[in-house]
Amino acid sequence: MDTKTQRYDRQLRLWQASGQMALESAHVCLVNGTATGTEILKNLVLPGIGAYTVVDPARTTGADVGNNFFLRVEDIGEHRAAATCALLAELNPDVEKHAYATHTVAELLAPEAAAMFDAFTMVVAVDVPEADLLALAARCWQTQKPLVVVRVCGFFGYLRVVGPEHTVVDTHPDHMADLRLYAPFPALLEYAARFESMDTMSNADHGHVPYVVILLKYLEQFRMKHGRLPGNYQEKNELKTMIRAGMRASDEENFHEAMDAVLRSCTKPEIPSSIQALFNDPACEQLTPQSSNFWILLRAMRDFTASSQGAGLLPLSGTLPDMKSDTENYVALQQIYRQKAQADCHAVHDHVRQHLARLHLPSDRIGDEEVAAFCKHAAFLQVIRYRSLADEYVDNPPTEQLTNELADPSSEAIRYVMFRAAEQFYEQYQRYPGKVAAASMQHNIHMCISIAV
Amino acid sequence: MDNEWVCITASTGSSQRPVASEDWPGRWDHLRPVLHRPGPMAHEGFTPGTPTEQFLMEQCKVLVVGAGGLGCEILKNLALSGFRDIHVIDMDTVDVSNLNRQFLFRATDVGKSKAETAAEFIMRRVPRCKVTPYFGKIQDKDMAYYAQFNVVICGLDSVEARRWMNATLVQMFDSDSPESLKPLVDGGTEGFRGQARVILPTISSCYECSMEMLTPQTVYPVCTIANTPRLPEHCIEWASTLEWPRAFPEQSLDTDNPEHLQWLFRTASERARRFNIPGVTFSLTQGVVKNIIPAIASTNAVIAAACCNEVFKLATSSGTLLDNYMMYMGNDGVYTHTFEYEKNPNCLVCGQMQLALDVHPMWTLEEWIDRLIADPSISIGKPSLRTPARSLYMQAPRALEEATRPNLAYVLGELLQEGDVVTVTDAALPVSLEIVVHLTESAATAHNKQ
Repeated sequence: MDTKTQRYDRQLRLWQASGQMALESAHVCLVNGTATGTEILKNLVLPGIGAYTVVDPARTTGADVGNNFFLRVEDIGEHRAAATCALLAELNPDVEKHAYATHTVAELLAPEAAAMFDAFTMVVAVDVPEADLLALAARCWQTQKPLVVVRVCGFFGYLRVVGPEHTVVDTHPDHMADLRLYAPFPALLEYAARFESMDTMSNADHGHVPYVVILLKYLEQFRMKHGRLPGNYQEKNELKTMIRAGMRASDEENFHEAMDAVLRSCTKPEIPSSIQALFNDPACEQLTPQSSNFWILLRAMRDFTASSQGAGLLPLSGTLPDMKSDTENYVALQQIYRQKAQADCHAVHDHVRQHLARLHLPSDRIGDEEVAAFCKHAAFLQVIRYRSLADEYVDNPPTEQLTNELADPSSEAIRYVMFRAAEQFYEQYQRYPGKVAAASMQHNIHMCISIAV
Repeated sequence: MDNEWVCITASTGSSQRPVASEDWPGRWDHLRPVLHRPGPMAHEGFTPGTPTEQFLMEQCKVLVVGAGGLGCEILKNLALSGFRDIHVIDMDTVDVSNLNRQFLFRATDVGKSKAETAAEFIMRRVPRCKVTPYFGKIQDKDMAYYAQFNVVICGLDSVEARRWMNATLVQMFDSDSPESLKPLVDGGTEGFRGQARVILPTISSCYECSMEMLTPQTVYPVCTIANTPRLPEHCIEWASTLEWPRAFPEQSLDTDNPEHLQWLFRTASERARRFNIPGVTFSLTQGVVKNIIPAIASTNAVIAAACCNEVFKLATSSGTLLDNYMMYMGNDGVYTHTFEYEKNPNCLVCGQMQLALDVHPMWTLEEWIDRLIADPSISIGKPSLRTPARSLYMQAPRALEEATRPNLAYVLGELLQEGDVVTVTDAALPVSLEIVVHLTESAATAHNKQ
């Protein structure tokens, strides 16, 4: 194992090589090397971010060194951007691309700095006054760069993510297995048929029948009796009772597993409403050559569900949980789910190629692995859309909602209002409230209250 | 809980000399507004001003247990928050896989003591902050040692060490002496999730009160490992627990030894190939045999920050304390949940000292021991049991084990009388557990998880 893999072992177990690659392709710009700002970068440099740039016009003060671990006494009077950038770089020799700039926000947004700005893949802005922040946010919005807005005050903090549409394929769900018990495909039925002689099996074999087979058998019995499969809680309990009656001994683990799985796995397979909503999204309806891979894949998946092979269902995830069984039967069952998942995936890929051709895009733009990952997480895909900061702060501030919330004295909305009021205070006086001797604090408080009102 | 108890600030306003006058101008500008101004969020007992600052910077003594992922963060936060007498204990040395988050260590520190290296780094970076390291186990130290601290903060990855530290601090509390109350702030992380809690021994719930909340470690049945492997993990367990002792009866497995790991990986891969099981990798082999938990810098930073804020508030009363448990989930957006974990009246450490248990007279001693091991609220591994009159079963020494082994086959009705007190000791138990036995035929239903 190379040293990089060893060094990153504990995080690779969390986000795998794909997550690491994404991290290493990011170039984060930090605006203001404050204590909170350097902490954020520290937590990105350690796991190996691709590149970072500290943008900060300030000179280091004694107060900065007092609360920032990435500044030293000898840095007082020096550029804060240079000093923090250098000390952060010591954390990880693999992060070779780091830079600093002593630009103000206005200078950062000026045409002369365009080449630098364009290289950033995202921006973190810490304690940037509101006028500058809105200008920075507008530029990030226009260039589709995510912006993370951070403010800190004593024991309180403010965190707001603004960004272009964010799509997530690998959402790391806890349970991915879809056993298709209510819509068994032919290979699964064939497999189950191998256990038809369950009643005459030896006790050892009987205790090793995979619970998927047990469930299919009793679901069929239920259907023979009631003319349909169990739907509500009561019917599922009846199914459990039928399974219990089929046990040879009270400690047959596979039967216990079957009963435990009834509520979770005995459900009518359907497309989750969150995915159905994405199918109906205009971005899915109207593909263009500018559409991202996510939406092309989603559209292909929608076509698949409407096809005879999809039969109204999403592609199968293909994962099988562990269950009491002998090795051979388990591995065979695992193969059956995996092969069905692969077949679904191939079909989705065909639809992908058709769309790529129609859009005059290269057919290799979306590869096998990307299609496979997409199909595997089909039921758990996520799209996050943000409001622009201008919309929240200027164009459509949530005044009515805040007024209602503030009527409730226990509401957290007061903290939002105070953070925003402090910004208004800054716009008026060019300093933050509280940055004065205690004597004039009362006056500051009154000014803030009047702003908030 | 009653906050009167938790004010550990010395309220004697001695001199008005500004604290830390030798510091460079502006050093504490970020801290002073919090320490010198009253505020609506402050604790009732808060006295803004110099005595509070003096207590923080000149008197308060903090013990940091663990200098790993959380420990590095905690040391940095405390040093920057004005604590100047910090002690740190850790028995570990730096490993390459620590470097992705334990930012006080560099590649050249691999193999050195974590406590010593971390202490040196903090003292170099934060002038006039004194950090005293101890390279060793928490169990090496006695109550007199722990009594010197005002507060203890734990950033550990081991349940056993937490249980020990918690039990020690709970046992140290003497209701006649308020200063014997040592608040314990405990943090823990796993991947994108974590928790922080404040434990006020005997006042709030303690670590042991919540033992049953722990997710039990996955244990694969031996028959699956030996006969019907299905997962790559089964093949790895086979290699480490069954094949290794067979192939090397004289040598115990060292999961830190790369050659041992390579052997396990090869052996597990062969078995997987034979059974057609995909997925055995070196990384998985290492993960399974070392029970590796994912760990990242950012979650540690979040949890350590929460813990250090509590220590700061304990020392200064400048804010209301966490009461008493905060869970953080960063895997799907950002989500936190704060609640009061209630005291468990049956807690082995801070609750009643005896546990009443129903036992079936027809259970064998062995069966009863298995049931005790399976009980998550007790959480033991290899218990020894005795009554005041005799040893029922002792794990060690060998002669005693052999002498008491025949008892395992006896039924409890023959070994015990109604109301007998059985003392259970176990390496995992921070205290010995006393069980008052109630012999009853209906015991089976109470404990029938098999």
